[in-house]
Amino acid sequence: MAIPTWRLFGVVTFALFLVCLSANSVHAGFGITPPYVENHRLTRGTVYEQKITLVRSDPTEDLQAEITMNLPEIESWFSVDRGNKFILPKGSTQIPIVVRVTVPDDADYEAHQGTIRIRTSALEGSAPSGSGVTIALGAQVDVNVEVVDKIYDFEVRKIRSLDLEEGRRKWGLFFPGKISFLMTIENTGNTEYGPTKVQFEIYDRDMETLLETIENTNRIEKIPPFAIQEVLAELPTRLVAGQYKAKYTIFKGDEVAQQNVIDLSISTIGAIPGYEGYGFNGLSLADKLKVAAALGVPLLILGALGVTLVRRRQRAHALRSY
Amino acid sequence: MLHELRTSGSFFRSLRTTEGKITLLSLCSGAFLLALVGIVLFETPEPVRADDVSTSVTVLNTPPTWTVNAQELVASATSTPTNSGANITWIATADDSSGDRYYLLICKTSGLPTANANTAPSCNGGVANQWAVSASTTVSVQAAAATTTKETFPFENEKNDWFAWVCDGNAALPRCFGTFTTGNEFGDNGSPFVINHPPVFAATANDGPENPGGTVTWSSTSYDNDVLSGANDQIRLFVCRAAGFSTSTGCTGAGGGWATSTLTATNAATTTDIVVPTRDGLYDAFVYLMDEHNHAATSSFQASNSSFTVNNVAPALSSATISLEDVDNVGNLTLATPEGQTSGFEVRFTATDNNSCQNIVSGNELTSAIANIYRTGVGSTSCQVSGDYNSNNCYANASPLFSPYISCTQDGGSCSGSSDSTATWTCTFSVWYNADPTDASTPWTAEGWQTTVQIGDDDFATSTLTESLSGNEMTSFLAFNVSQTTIAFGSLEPGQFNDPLATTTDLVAIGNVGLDEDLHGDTMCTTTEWTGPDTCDTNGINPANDIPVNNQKIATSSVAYAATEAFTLTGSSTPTELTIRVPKTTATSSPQERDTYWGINIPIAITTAGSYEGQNTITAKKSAIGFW
Repeated sequence: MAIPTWRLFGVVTFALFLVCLSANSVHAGFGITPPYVENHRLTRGTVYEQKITLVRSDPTEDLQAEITMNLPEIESWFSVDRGNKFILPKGSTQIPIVVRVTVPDDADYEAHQGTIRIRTSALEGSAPSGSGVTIALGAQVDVNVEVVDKIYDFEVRKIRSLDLEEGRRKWGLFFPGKISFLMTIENTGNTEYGPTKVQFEIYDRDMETLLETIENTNRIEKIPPFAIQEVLAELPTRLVAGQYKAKYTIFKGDEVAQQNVIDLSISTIGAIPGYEGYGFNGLSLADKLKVAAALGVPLLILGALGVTLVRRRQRAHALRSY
Repeated sequence: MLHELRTSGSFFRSLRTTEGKITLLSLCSGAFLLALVGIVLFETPEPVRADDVSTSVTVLNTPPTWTVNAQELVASATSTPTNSGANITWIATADDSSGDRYYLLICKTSGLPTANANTAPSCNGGVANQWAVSASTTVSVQAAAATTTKETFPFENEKNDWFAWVCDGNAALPRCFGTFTTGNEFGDNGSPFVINHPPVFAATANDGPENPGGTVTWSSTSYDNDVLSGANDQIRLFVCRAAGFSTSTGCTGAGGGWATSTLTATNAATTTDIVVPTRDGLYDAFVYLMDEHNHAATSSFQASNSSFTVNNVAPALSSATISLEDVDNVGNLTLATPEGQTSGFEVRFTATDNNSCQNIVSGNELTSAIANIYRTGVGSTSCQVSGDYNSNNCYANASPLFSPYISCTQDGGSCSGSSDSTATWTCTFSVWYNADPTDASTPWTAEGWQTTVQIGDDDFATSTLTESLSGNEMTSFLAFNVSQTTIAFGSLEPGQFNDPLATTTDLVAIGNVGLDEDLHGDTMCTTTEWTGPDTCDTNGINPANDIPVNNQKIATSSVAYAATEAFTLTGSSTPTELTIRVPKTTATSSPQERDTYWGINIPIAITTAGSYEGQNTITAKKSAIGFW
């Protein structure tokens, strides 16, 4: 079959151009971590946030990032802190975005799947004309969420205990040493929650003799759902300076969330710069009663005097009236 | 007497004999001669006259007399003996009718002493019998005689009698009062005085070295020979941290005492507990012995340094304090460097050393640490030696492939001083991009990452290798690269197509997951029309100069354009999934990759020759874990 002249001309031109396109350059690496939004413990009203970090190995130019969602029935629950279009700036190897999932109060208890795609491309207008068929890169975020009833749960990720000094006697009162026990807790439930109680059984350093059993005196902070946070338990000890073993127990309601043994070092007074011991809230019940008596008795006397004076004045007034 | 009378009778009877007469004559002659000699020798007295008679008499000096009897100024008695080396002082007061100054003389015996003109009197028997003598003292003023005692002669005895005398030093006729006193009316202040001798301290030693928490015992060969109280005096051993001792207050050197024994009859010994923590090293221990009367020993062992050694003990780790942390110290371990190492991960832990966290020269006692990091499926025992290293799942500190990328240091300020036995440490390390993920939808979801830690001290003693109580998860890292930036379909006439599909793009796995891809494209148009992605068909497709997206095909191998394995490329709303199945990369130096094959069919309706442009998007996603 004969080829028309105009078509032949076109083919030649087309061919020349495409030959030129075979000279390829190299894409920089691109990635996301984690490549999912996954939570099987969402509940009604929950707000769950998943940070996803976009990484580039060689950010020599600005790139346009575009987010598209394929989330049947639940797309309205999802939002991205940076919006659906944003710039991956030149020079930044890591760009975090936060995908927020807001579960409606009337959401059904069921599972949902979908995807979020993050596509990167050259900024509009920056791609030179004549580039041919260019390649844009994207990464897929798998979405797998489930709405369930309320769950109260947490995991202990790590613990640490700060150095402390022995208690001190002042004004006839004994201010115990303060054990500051820090727990990094991940709330794996979907409701604000956290350790309900911390107990220490303190033994001599050979773990032969139980010297003291104490519990936290402060209210342990609750942790928002799905968050990881370090919380503090304060426990009063009347032990003198020395080395001890402490068996700690972190309670989750009536359950034991974690129990283990740590070394406990109690220093002498003044040995730890910046240490702050217990104030009045660490006093024993007997000492608290002493303080109450010391403060309360004068107040009672003053009150009684006041009442007496008022009554006298009323009586005098009544007599004068009479 | 009767015998003498009988003798006299015989004398007169003997006159009747010649021998008797001669004897009588001899006696008379002798008497005469004696008288004659007397007359010659003695001055012939002046003639006495009746009007010149004179008289004379010499009144002799009289001795001083006791006003207050002698006594010990400080009672020296069995219950309150005088320690050898201390002074004993006697006091007394005397009067003298002639006003002579007097001396108080303390003698060992009751023999009358000798008064001396213008000087102190002497005890009967001389100075060897003298305890003390006062200075010349004005009458009626209290005199004091004192002596310094010593361990040896003349104080070698515990009990020593004394007799006090008062004498004057009258130049003409010095006299001592004829009666001594012993002060017995003053109780313990009277004779005798009692000397307490120092205890015998013959040897000392201790049973060190000892660990913190142990007990060091100091023993001695020691006793006391004084027995006046009814038994040997008891003794007590002091062990001081520094030189310096007082019999009244004990150790006076810096730091006070290590230990003090109870009173005992012989071989005093004492112990001290080596508290926890105590820094390892040599400790001074100066030993002192004294008896129950606070008399210190005088031997060479007194104040000698019976130093002891506190052993170095290995530090320890508590598994509950070990944590494996992300770069930001929150959440799971998250890789963020495609085809490289992500740095800044941390292992944190608290180390305990019974030798304190501060050594004896105030440096750090804890000096080194190692940490192995591994996927739990590998296990701690399989990630310890150099050969265990694997960038996917085991970062063994011993490996030269990992050791340059981990650094462990003690946290500043975490050691508060020598009384603090704990310090916190942080190991910072890097992890390769292909480290196995353990989070959701991975082959290792049931596992996690763990760490074992070992801490060492300045004497190279090390703790046991201790595994953390709780580990962490390694997050999936979807990272990839495409080597090409454009797709070169080659030169085609309208109606022609790539057959088989030959143009390729690669997909390189440079994260820690296996990959698949979704592909989509847009309508292509000529360079003059093309202004950007998805702009060619803004006003609908023009068959003469637009190439629809579904004219492109994709496949995982070089198949025919018409083959069923060649999938039609779609638009962005319905991307085409291509199960390219790039495995997870397992070797850092050779990332896994797979090619995608592309082809295009130039519509026959195209009439515009020239270059056509468009944009295809490759969206990488995690593949099913069976294909990793």
